[in-house]
Amino acid sequence: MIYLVGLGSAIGSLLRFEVTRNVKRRYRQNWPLATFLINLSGAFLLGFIFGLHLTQVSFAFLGTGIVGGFTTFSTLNTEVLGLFNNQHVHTGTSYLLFSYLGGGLLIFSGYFLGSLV
Amino acid sequence: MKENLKNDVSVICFAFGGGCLRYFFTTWLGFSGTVVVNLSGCFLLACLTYFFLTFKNFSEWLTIGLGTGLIGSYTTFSSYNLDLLKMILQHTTGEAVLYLVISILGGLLCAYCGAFCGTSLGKKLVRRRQR
Repeated sequence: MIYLVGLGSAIGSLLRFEVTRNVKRRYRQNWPLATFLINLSGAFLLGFIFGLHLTQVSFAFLGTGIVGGFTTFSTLNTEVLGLFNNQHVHTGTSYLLFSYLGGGLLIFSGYFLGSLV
Repeated sequence: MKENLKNDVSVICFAFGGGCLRYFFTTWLGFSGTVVVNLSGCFLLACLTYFFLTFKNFSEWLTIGLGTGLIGSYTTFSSYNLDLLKMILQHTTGEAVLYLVISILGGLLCAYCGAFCGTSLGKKLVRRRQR
C-alpha cells in the first residue's frame, strides 16, 4: 500500500512541477498563481474522490497518492513568508486567506458532488 | 531539454520518498500525523529554500528534487482540508477549529523558524568557505 501512495505522489508531484513551471513562465505577477490553482483544484478533487467512497486501495493511490502529492502545504507557507519578507503584506495575507477559505469551500463542494455520483 | 528531463526524474524519485513518508506518519498518527507532516515540512522547505539562497553551491536537480519533490510531496494541502471535512462530518467541530488554528499559525511559524535556521546555516558555511 505504501508503495502505491509513493507512486501516486511521484505522479502528482511531477504534475505540480510541470504546472508550476508553465504557469510561472506565463504569469509574472507577485501572486503565487501556480500553487494557488494547484492547491484549490487538488482540494476539490480530493473531496470528490472521497465522496465517491472508493475502496481503500484505490483511495490510497488516487487520493492520498496523486492528489496528496499534487497539492503542497509547505510551498504555500514558504511563499507567504517570502511575500511578507518582500513587503508584499497585502498580497501575502490575501493569498493565505483565499487559499484556506477556498480550500475549505472546494473540498465541501467536491465531496457533495462526489456523493451524488 | 536534457536538463529538464534530469529535473523531472529527480522530482519523481524524491516525491516517491516524500509520499511514502507522509503515508507512514498519517497511518501511524491519524489526524495529528497530517499536522506533524505539514508543520515539519514547512520548517524543512523554508530551511532548504533559504539555505540554498545563501549558500549557492548545489546543482539545480538536487534543489528541485529536495524542495519540490521530497518536501512538496511530503506535505499536503488537500489532506489537510479532507481532515477538516472528516472532523466536521463527525461533528467534532471543536477539534476541527483547533486543527485549523494549529495548521495555519503553526505553518507560518515553522516556515519562519526554518527560514531563520536556513539563512544562518548558509551564512555560516559561506564564511567558513571564505576563510
